[in-house]
Amino acid sequence: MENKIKIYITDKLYGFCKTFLRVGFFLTIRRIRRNSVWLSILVTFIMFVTFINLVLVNGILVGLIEGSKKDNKEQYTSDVFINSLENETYIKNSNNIIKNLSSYDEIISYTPRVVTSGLIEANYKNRTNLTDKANELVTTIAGIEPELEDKTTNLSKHVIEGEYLQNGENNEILIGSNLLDRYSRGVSGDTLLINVYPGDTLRILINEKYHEVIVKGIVKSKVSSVGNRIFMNKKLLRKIIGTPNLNYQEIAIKLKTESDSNQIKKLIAKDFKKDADTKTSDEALGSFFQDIKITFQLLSNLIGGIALFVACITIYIIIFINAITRRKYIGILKGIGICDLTITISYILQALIYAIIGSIAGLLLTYFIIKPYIDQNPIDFPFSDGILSVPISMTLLRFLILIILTAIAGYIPSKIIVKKNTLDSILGRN
Amino acid sequence: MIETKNLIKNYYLGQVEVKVIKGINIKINNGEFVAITGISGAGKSTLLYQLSLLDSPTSGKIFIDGQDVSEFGETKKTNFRLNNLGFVFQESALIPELTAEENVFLPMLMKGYKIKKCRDLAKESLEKLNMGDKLKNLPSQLSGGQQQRVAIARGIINKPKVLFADEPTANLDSKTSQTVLDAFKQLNNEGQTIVMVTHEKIYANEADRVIEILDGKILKDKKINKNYRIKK
Repeated sequence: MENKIKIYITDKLYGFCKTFLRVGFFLTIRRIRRNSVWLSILVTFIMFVTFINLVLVNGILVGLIEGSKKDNKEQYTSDVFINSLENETYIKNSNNIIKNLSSYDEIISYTPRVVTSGLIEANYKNRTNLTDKANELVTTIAGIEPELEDKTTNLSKHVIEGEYLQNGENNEILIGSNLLDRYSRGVSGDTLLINVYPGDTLRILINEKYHEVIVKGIVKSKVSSVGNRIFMNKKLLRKIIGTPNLNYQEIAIKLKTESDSNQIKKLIAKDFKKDADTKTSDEALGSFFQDIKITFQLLSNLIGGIALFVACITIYIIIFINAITRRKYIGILKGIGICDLTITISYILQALIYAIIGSIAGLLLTYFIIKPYIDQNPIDFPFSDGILSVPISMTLLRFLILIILTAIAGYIPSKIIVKKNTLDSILGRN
Repeated sequence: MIETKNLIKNYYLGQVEVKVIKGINIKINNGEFVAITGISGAGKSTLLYQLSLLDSPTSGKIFIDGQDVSEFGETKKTNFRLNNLGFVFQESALIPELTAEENVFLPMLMKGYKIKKCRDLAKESLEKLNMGDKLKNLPSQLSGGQQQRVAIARGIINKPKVLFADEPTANLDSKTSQTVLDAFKQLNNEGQTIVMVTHEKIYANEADRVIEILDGKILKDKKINKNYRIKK
């Protein structure tokens, strides 16, 4: 008996809600259809711009950081990055660690690097007067095994002039384009190497000894640890440094796509905690990127919030004007038995239809035009190739926020007008 | 049947209380065509608004078919109007964005009828008033008389217990007014109870009974002998 009553009440309630929505929707569609087309287009366009603003501004700002993180990972740290402990100059037991890496099925490749700093000088043969300022700078020099490095970080793909290194080459180097004056973006030429091309001879000063090297290629990358470096065969660098130490300063490890970098990091760290600092690519970047990402997100939320506010005010005004100019008809609707809720629903639905059409147009533009375009043509920022970071979950969340706020912006003005006395509305009394 | 007991309605104009209805007692039987008449400001429209639940009396009782409706809240009143009462307002009381057919079937849609059934009922209702060829016309495409006939069709579609009409011939020429009144008479002949407010005696005399209001009180309440109705 109790169940039957429950079912009866539920059915009745469902029937009522269905009727309210049905009649509300009926009134909405008729009103929109016979409203000014230009007004509908304008409001929909405002909602479209708001949606684009909400999704794109955030997507571009976060995409800058994501692009930078992606580049760092692909070109420098790879999935897992090992470097020396704090206050140490090299990774202890480097060769044992490397030997151990071969036991992991998840590892595709790895590249050990000998890293040091040195002074590099160009155009020294043309210097006629010793009092003239030398064209030199201090930079990081990495000794690599070219094949392993290329397998792990695709370094060869970033050679824009000349050629990539070969194993065993004795004098050749790759030089980062950020060190060259002709690739500078307005940075003073005094701190960069002038007129350096593949085939030119430079000299490197390490441990107070000069060594002449030949530029084999120029590497262009927005990752500072690549674009600001000089690369050479590790044997050559070890020869220049002149130390018998066979340890390394960095090891970048590339994992299979499906592998969990955090888990591999933990396994390596477990065995070699005292010898090296093992990190995932995100950890290797440090908190700086995460901090910037949070700041950018806050900034984009602020910009998006302002856009949302403007859109809500617009909807509020449109619905308010629409309702107040039709106050008499609202009174008549109530007079013939159309309940307040149905009339209010019709205005909320009107606001929602504008928001939904605008958002769908924004979604289509974002995912079918802008994103594919930016993926093909990343935004050229000085420190990264900006991608558009628009994960579906975040986009849907923003869509939901827009819809909820639009519904509220439609509800308030319609409620204000609808709740007025029926007779006063019909007779136009205040 | 509609019955009022000592119906009083006061309004406030700023701080001043204006007594518009001063203790009216009337009984309107089922099937009657009643005209409420009187000079401007007599309180006839105010009386109609109380009877039709568009407004609430200051005191007194209203019974419709024995049910005390004077204490109903807004939602209950709206629902009661939907299911039991029909209205014909003054001119321009149609929803402008709805066609004649849609204006007519809106109350039925609200009652939960399927759209197909609503359209059939609206068509039937409009055809009864010789408006069957104007189903898809917007109010702006109809003359004043046609608009009122659509409003009457809307008023009767849900087969109300009472059809209320507030100055339905206001601003209509005499020929058009007569078509509207003919429609009322036709409905009344079919058994529809009608309460109409008009300030024009010539139209009031088309009803079965004329209640004349003056200064918020009933001045006259007389039955019209149908044989002596004024013929146009």
